[in-house]
Amino acid sequence: MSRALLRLIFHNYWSRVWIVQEIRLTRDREFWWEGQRISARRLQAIATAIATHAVCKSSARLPQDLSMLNRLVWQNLSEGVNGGPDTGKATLLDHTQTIASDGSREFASADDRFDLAETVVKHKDFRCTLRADHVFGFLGIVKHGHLFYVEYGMLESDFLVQIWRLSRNMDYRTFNALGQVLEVSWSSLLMHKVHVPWYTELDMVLRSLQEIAPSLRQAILDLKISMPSSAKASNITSPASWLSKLYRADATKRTQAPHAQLLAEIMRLVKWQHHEHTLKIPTLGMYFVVQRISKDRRGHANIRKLLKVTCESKLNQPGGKDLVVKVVIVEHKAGSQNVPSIYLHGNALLSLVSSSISRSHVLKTMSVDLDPKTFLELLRMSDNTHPVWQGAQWWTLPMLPAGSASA
Amino acid sequence: MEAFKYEPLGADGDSIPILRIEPLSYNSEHISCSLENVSLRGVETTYIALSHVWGTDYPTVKILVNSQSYHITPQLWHFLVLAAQSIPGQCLWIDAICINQSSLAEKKEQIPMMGQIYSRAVMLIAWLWGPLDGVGGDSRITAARREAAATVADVSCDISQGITRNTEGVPSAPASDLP
Repeated sequence: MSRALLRLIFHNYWSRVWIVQEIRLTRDREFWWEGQRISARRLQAIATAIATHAVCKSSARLPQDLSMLNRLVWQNLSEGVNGGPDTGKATLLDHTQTIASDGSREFASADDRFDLAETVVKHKDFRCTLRADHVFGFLGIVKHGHLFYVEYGMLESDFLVQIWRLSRNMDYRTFNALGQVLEVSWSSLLMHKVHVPWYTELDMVLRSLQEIAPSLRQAILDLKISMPSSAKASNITSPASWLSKLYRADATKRTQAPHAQLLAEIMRLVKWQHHEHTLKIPTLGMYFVVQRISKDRRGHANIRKLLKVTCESKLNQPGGKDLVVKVVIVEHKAGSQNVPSIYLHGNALLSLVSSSISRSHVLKTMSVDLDPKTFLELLRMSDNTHPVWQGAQWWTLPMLPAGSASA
Repeated sequence: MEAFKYEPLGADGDSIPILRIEPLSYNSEHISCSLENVSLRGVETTYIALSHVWGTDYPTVKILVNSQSYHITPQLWHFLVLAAQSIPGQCLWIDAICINQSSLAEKKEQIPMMGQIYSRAVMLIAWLWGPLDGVGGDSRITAARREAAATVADVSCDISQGITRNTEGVPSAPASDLP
């Protein structure tokens, strides 16, 4: 039975796109495999027992063979996570919530349904034969899914426009991730002259930054083309100030606006440009080589926000929980003063850090390894007055994409 | 024998084909079922929906649909054999059969209805068919771990009972093996 259970838990059934809505929408479910049948409730109990065990590590309450099963499950999982062909493959444990749900009754109104873009991105590792099934497979559980016009081999732009209509509120990150899952280029929207109001503008910003970087100023100037006439009318003199106005426009809208993150990014760049800090931007959204954040209040808030986002996104990746955030505290001479600085780096980029300070000026280094969770907690607890952050000059080296560690 | 032909669906965009599986008799040569179009609005039809992995096998096994020959994959055939024994006469909705896979127009029409089809089903049977030991199978469970798993299986304590003991509110009906 345990052996059969193990195979049930890792069955490739769980990583198929279509089953998500199939399980989610039905009231009563039974699982048949290898001559066994088991009700959804009992299957959920097994999944919960295994998941809980891993969290609380109290095997005392579990019967012996279940705790052995547990070990096998987690052994299998960690092997999957650390590489190998099945990295990211979904298992029964990924469906605990779905199995526990109350089926179709939960979708009494359209608001209870899921957002299309988010659902697709959430299940990006799930499998299906055709790319389009990454969308078609969830139409039964997403908001207004019945309005989607289904056709295999439809024009990419038509496909994208429909997704856009159903998930207008997607943020920039989801937008990007969605493009990767579906292996589509959003720019096909432009080629087919489909009008998605903000997209043209966003694309233009991206293109200009990519092509013109590292000359950021030029990129910002190019934004003039897409400056709305209303902005010109209301005494806005430069594209940078237009951007900043746009960004500050409405706090509630900001979180929803698809381009808010991009704008935030640009705003940071603009600010640095203003302070004449050196910046290299190989590709926007890929990495910043060195980000310098000034000592003021706002700088601290920004860095915390950035670190929080980086850490959280890392945590959500396979193996994220095993990541180590290296915090290096360096005390060095700045003029006549000794300044303690805190450096954070993702993949051992200490050399890069030190290259920005003359080696002879380094007085003391101290390295602390924290797991991302603890680190996040620390970030959350801290405010500007917390002794840990006080007097520290902030530098940060976000994770570089794989393969560019020597940059 | 003639090859099976799908009846055209009604123009109302509301009907789906439902499969009724006939009980196996001692002289059954093939699994036999009937397929008929019913309206989704018609409340009287109760059906079980099937959830399964299509797999990469070719439809090589012959069954009879409305007394005409029809070919399905081995994995689906295994399910139908079990179903004919344990839930004979039951109505089923199986995507691989109930959606005319060769008709793009029909696929186009049925995919947006999937949500309705599943939520109106009286029940879902998830069929997790895997090749038995040694025949391909889940690459994740390597030979070494298969061995380890076998050790676990030797412990004769019934897992399901163990869980029931430790999880409040879960009924303790043991899983009955299929005939």
